[in-house]
Formats: sequence, C-alpha cells, structure tokens
Amino acid sequence: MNQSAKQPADILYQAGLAKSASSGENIPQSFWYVKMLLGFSGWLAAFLLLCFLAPAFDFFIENKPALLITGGLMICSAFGLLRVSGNDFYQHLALALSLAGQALVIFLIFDSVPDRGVLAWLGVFAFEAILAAVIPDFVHRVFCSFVGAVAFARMLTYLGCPHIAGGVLILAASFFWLNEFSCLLRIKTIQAIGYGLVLALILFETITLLGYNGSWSPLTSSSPVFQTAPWMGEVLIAAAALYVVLHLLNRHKQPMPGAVSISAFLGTLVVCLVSVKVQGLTVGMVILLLGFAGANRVLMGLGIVSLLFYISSYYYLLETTLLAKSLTLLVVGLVLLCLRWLMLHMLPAPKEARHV
Amino acid sequence: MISSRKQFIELVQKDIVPPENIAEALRTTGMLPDGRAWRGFIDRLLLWLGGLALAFAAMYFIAYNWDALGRFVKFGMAEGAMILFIAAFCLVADRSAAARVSLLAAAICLGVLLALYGQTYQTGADPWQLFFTWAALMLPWAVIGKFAGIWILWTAILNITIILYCRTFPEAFGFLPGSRSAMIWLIFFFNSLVLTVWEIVGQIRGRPPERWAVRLPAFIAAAALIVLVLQAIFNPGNSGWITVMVWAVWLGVVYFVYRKTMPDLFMLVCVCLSAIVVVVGFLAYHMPDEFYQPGFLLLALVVVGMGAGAGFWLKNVNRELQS
Repeated sequence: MNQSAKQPADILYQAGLAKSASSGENIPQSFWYVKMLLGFSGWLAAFLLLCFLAPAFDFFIENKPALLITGGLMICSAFGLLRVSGNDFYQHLALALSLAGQALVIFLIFDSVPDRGVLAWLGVFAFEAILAAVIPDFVHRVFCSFVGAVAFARMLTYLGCPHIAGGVLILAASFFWLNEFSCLLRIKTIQAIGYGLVLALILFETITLLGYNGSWSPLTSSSPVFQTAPWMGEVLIAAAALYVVLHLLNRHKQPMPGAVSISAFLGTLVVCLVSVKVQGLTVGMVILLLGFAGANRVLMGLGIVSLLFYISSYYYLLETTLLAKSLTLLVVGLVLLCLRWLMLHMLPAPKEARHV
Repeated sequence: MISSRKQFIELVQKDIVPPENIAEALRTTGMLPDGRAWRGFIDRLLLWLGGLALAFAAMYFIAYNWDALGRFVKFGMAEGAMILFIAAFCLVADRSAAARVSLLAAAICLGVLLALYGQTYQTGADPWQLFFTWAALMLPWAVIGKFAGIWILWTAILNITIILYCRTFPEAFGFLPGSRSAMIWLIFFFNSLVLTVWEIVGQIRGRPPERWAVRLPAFIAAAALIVLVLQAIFNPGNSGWITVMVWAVWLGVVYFVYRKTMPDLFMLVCVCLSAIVVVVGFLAYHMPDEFYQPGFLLLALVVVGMGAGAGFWLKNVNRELQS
C-alpha cells in the first residue's frame, strides 16, 4: 500500500510533470463510511439541540427577529469554528450547530412566506446554496447541496414543471462531476456539491417511481405557473446522457465524426429510447458512467445500488400491467445485449497501454 | 487506478503538480480510465444490465395473471428461461462476467419457477417455505458460482425467510427470554454466522472475500443488535442484561478481529456507531425528570464528543493501517 501511495508523485516527477518526487510521506485515504459516521453524529446532535431549544419555540414563533438572530448566530458560530479550528470535536460541534441553525432559519422562511410555495422553496434553495459555497466543511457541503437540490425540485413542482426536475438535477450533477478535475484547487467543494446533487437525484427518482402522492411528493402541485409533460423530463435525462458521452469523447480526443463517436452517440440514444418506460434506469446508468469516468468507487456504488433498486421497484409501478413491464424489460435486455455484441464485434479494441 | 486518485488530488492541492500540467498528468498516471478500460466497463455494464433485465422480464411475465395460458405453457416458459441461462453458463463455464450473469439470472428464474408451482397447485405452503426452498435449491449454484453477487442473493433470500417465518409463527420462540424480538435476534445471529463463515472460509482458502459483500451482513447484524439493545434499554425486563452482554461481547469480538487480526475500517465504524447510539439511548432513558430539558443539551454534547472521538480514533487507525 505504501508503495502504491508513492507511485503518482514518482511517476509524474520522472515525466517532468511534478516539481518533486514522493517525499515518502504517506497521504492517508479517507473513506466514505467514516464521513457517514461524522454526518450521522452531527445530524443526531443537531436533533438533540433542537429538542433542547423546543420550549423556546413559542417565543420564537412570536418573535421572528429572535428566531433569525438565534439561527444566524448558530450558523455563524459554526462557520467561525470551522474556519479557526481543525479539531474534530469543534468540527462536530459546528456541524450540529449549523444543522440546528438551518432548521430554525428554514422554519422562519416558511413562516414568513404566505403560501409556502415557490418563494419559500426558492428562499431555502438560495440559503442552502450560499451555505454550500461558504462554509468550509465537506460533510456540511454535502448536506447543504442535498437540501438545496431538494428545495429546487420542490420549487419546480410549485412552478408546475415537476417532470423536468430529475433532468435538471442530473444535468447539474453531470456538469459538476465531469469538471471535477478542471479546478483541482476547489475539488473538495465540487465533489461535495456533486454528492449532494446525486443523493437528491436518487431520492427524487425514488419518490417519483414509488408514486407517493402525499404532500412531500414532487409530483403534487397546487397552483402551477408552467405546464410540462413527462416526456420533457425524459428528453432532459437523455440530453444529460448525451452531454456526458460528448464530454467523455472530447476528453479522450475521439474524432468527431468517427466510428467510436457515432457508435457511442447512437448506442446512448438507443439505450435512452428503450429504457424510457423503466423509470430511473438511464439515471442510474449515467451515475455509474460518471463514477467510472472519475475513477470514483463511491459514485459507482451509488449508481449500482440505484440501478438495482429502480429495476426491482419497477414491479410496484401501478400505471402499467406486469405484462407490459415484462415486455419492456425484455426489449431493454435484448437491446442491451445486442449493443454489447455489436460493440465486441464491430468496434476494434483499443491498443493503448496502461501507464500505472 | 482508483487507489491513486486521492494521492493525485493531494499532489495538485499541495502544488507539487502545477495547474498547467494537470491534464497531461491525469493521462500519464493512468488514473482515469483509458480506451481499453472503457471498453471493458461498457462490456460488463451492458452484460449485467441486459442479463438482469431478461431475468426480471421472465419474473414479471410469469407473475402476470394469465388466463389464456395453460399451466404447462407457463411452466415450460419458466423452466425454458432457467434452462437457457444454465446452458449459457455451461457454454462459458469459466469465471467470466457472462458466466456469473447467467448463473444469477438462472437463480432468479428458479425463484420464479417455485412461485409459479405454489401458485398453480395451491400447495398451502407458507411463503417462508417458498423462500427457504429457493435458498436450499440454489445453494449448490452459489457454491459452484463462487462470486459475491450470488451469495448476497442467497443471504437476502434467507433473511426474507426468517422475517416471513417469524410473521407466520410469532410465538415460535416464546420459551426463550426476549422472545418478543425473536425475528431481530434470528436476523442478528444469521448475519453474524454468515459473516463468520465467510471470513473463515476466505482465510482457509487464502483468498479473502470481496470486502463490500462481507460488510453487508456485518452491517445488518450491527443494526439488528442496536435495535435489540435499544429495546432492552427502553423496555427493561428480566432478559435485558442478556442483550447487553451479547452486545458487549459482539462489540469486543468485532473490535479484536477487525482491529488486530484482519484490519477493516468499515467494521470499526460499525462498532463506533453502535457505541454512540447505545450510550445516547442509555443516557436518555436514565436522565432524571428534573434534568429533562437541559439533558438534551448534555446528550447533544455527548454525541458531538463521541462522534469527534470516534472520528479522531478512526483517522489514527487509518493512518496506522496505511503506513
């Protein structure tokens, strides 16, 4: 492990691309499950802090300035703690303080907006977007991006275009993940926002797939401003898939038009067309593609889990009969296997050698 | 490829690799997939998704309430699909992805066939018997297949069997202390057993199992035990101490094995998570009534402290493991 950790610096130094070779200092990897533990304890502590503040809620409801000041102070304290200290205890305390403060501010936003519709969700989205940009903590940024993306999807629902929310989220997520390496100095910020968007996207697709019509569902809208149809969402998701393919072809300097480029575009279009009835299939595949393109195991894991979930949850979709679902999946399966056969037999295998 | 990702990012952030060299450096290190890697990935993606889609198509087709089809036609189709996948497995009988996909699809078709049998002949069997038979009949395939996916399917089927059995016979374990939670106890023991056997077999064969597959039963066992201990704390009874003892022993064993013998940070995260939840639950239950409101603040600080402590310790362990 030690040897592999030193490899990139040494290889790049030998190639004249790095200023120095490996210093021998090992850079420890951080793991998603450790971050999950930190996130969970921050969330639990925030919940307990809110319980502590619960008796003051009557006072807060009567005094909106007090609510704003308390919430704002908690978030500012979190910001200060994160800026000043790298200590784990303060990092946790900051996360808990900020999450509790955000809950107070979001409550204030909903309490201040009369219809709790577009404006309220727009307010939450803007608030979370600012926090995601400003507060310098990875777990905090993932959380803010996630809540911000959910608020954005809700806002679109109230505007009357719930069907395009998934497409917009996947386009945004694709943009962030594909440009992950274009600004390496801010890569942690880009990654955190990317994870938040992907988690919100998976949640959104799940809720849509399960067809919940409760008040939380993005498919319920009281006073729509615009009207969109489900096919518009599918077009946007297909556009996101094509955008990902185009970006990857450019990254690998594939000639346009060329055999590989045309095959990739046609293959993607065919997959999008046949899987249009299987909710979430294209989304899962795009997440998996993004994960592989960035050599990101966590993102690939999210893609695989969401794909398995969507394909098995398809059973519970009430709009179509099991016979129609069976035929759709049969077509999807046959088309995917045919595409694989075509790829193996028609496209020559690249001969480039791996460097590492 | 993937292990060098973190190192590369750190190198750029420390300005060891100047920004103008990043694109070339990404290519040179081979950190991102090249054409050959992409071809292999697309190949596997299309194969797995296509195979699974066909298996699910067969499942949904049989599940459809057919009036026009006779039972022999239905059985013929289910058996035909299964035989087709088995034939595909025999044709590519190696450790390739195609062989694995075929075997997994055949295992799914086996479940479909059993469900069809129960539905057609109204055998009167309970649902748990269907799942148990499914698991028993696919066991040889899992042994032959020797890949994580089929074992995870087998484990999932047996977990469902346990849940269905306990729902059918809620009093089956009434003679045991803590029998109200028999289902959770069984899930805990079964997943712990799977974890233990998997690890031991991996050690004996000198080929450790895929970590993601081993972590799944470990996480389920940890979650089940957390629920049991919380039940024991919030509904104290005669058998509560047994639960707490089992929890303490489990925690100690997992800590010892995955800290000292075969280090695995994920398992240690499970230990920390379990400890945080149980300690907070214990303190919350035993908080004096007069201290009820400020108690929440105290609990929040305990969570923050324990979370920070766990994070600090895990980082140190991680650093030690990587050095």
